Amino acid sequence: MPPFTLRTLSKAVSLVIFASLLGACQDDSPTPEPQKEASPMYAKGLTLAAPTQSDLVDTNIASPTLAPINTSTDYVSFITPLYGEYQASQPVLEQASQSDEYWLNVTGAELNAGVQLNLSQAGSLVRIAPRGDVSTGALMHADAVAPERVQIQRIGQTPQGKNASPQATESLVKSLVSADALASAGLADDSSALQMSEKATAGEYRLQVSQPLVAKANYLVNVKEKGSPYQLSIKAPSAIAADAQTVGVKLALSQSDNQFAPKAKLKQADGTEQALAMVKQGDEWQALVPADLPLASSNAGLSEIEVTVQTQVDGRPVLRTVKTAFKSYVNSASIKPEVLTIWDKGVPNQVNFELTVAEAGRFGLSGVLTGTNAEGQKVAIMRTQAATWLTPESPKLKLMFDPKLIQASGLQPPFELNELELQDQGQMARLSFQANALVLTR
Amino acid sequence: MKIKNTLMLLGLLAVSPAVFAATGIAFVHGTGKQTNALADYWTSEFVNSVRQGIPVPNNYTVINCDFDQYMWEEAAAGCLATQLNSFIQAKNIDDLILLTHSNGGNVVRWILSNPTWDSRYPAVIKATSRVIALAPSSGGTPLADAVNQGNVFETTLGWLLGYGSNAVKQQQVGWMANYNNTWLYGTSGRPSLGKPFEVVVGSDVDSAIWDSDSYCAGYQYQVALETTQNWLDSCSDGFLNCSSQKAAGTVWFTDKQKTRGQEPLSHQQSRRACFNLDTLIRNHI
Repeated sequence: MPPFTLRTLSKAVSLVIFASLLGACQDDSPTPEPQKEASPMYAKGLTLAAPTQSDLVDTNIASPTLAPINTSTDYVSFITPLYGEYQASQPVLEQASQSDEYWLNVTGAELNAGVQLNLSQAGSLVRIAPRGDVSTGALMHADAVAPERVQIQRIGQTPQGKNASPQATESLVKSLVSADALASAGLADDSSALQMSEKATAGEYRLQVSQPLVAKANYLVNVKEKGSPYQLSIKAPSAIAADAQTVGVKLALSQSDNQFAPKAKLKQADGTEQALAMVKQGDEWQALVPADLPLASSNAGLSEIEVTVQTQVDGRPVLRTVKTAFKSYVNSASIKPEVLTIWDKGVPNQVNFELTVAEAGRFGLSGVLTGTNAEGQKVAIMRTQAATWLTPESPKLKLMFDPKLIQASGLQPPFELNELELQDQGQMARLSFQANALVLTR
Repeated sequence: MKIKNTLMLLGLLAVSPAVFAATGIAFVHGTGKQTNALADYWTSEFVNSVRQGIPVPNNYTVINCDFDQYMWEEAAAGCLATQLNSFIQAKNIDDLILLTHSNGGNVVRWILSNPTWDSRYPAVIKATSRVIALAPSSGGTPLADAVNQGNVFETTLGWLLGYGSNAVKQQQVGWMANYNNTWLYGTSGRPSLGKPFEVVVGSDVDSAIWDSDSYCAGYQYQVALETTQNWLDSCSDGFLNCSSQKAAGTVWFTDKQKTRGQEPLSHQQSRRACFNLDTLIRNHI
């Protein structure tokens, strides 16, 4: 099939050409039959609006390397009626989160020998969770820790500068929670916990487990300081190109102007972790991604950047870990600006798109059709969505409209296609978004 | 002759189940792999009470799928679509009420938001008239983050160890925020789901051992709840913050507004016949 030469198509395209164009669409849904004489149906070539700065459009495409998670070859089209004044919906491109906690990975030997804990406030929660290990070739799940076999003692000085005498665990701990009890409340990972008392004020502590543990067994120590004024916040992109060499990250620790040196890790959806170097550029940190490090190991799930910061604020040791989730993707397709619109009895019936596709895969398009009311306002008529299997040789996909919905709306031209979004359903990734994509002119 | 044909047609209509459409209700469970959700997740008491609210109470189905998987997977949304389509066809349902609990709301939102992902989805969406979402985990839960913290092996093998399944990973707060902003509809600033998504919010947990109300599918360990409260807001059902439950759709009611004795609904209680919840739903549908 030769590429569209849409600019040259006349309004009254011949039935032969019309039929061949319709046939080119990989679609088993009903297509309108042109009338024999004085046909009310006709085709018209149009061009998508030029992308604006806030649109997501990238014409440089590449082949995905990870296995697709949706390989259905079915053409599926769906229309959802919409009503009322059109409310534009813009994609959110950044993600923010904050943390009043931190976590450490330690071994059974370290827990038996004692590990240092920083608490920045009284009444913190200390959780110890066994984790799995396959270093011996077989799965080894560490034993749960009995909370009554855990000792916590203050070390060093209090924030006020007084030498602290060792205090018994009992006076520093308000309550103990076993793994069974925690599982009943939704923390079903064999965790046990110690809720520290008001006497366990900010400072450095030693956590020690007297229960004999397998030396190489893995444990997580999680300190949660609910309501702490020291919140580490992170803001980062919610989607990152798979070949990105740096990831911009905004970090801030509340109540502190101190400089800190964050430590970052990339965590893939399967749990694989890799340290990332962090470089400060202006107000932002850049996580440097090694050239041979893929941001994702699978198209299922998300990857995370996890950042740990350790500093002193007002003489208190503050340690925080925060993470942000993102989708790693390859820009595997783009939409060609020339489209073919089909009209029936004066209203748009469908828009035929041609894509540039790097590899065969399942791609989806969606958009919102609006019309204009007597006051000149844009009013939503329907959301239209379609997806199918496309190849570089057969890259056409059409978005259908429901003429009955258009007629019932009583709305007038200009009809517009908004929120035009291209998805790679194999990668489960949004590839492009155009807020005001097409004015449908007869 | 014309009268005779009309009568014959009416007779055919009377015996053909394919002609008259009907209301049906499907009970969609939350996280976990269910093989007998009626007994193990909902209880017969709850299901049998709720289904009395539709004209033909036998037009119901209890879904059994593997919601330990990511919502979009064949074992999750694919299984749900297959079971719903079978129910729709068998009972000729054109007014389908989906009653979901917890992560079941996310799997249903996945289908409603992504009709082109799978050719089985459109028929489900067309038949669906409304969703009643009991304590949906629309915004995830920080407890899912807590069990997913840790070293490399924990998430890889979490499912072997009985926790950290893909469904739990998906319900981490940051992950749900990402999915809500890309693949799921119904949250603020995102397209509408196209169907009513009415939420029942659990706002508190009654767990005192001297309070008999806490034993309606309730908690035994006050101290454990106090511990998990470290991750949760003051308004939560012990597993999900109210803000998470309210993140998608519209709030039908927050527990104490309508429950008997203004009792709160903990996360376990919001799928049981506790404090008139079953009657409230029955009368609503």
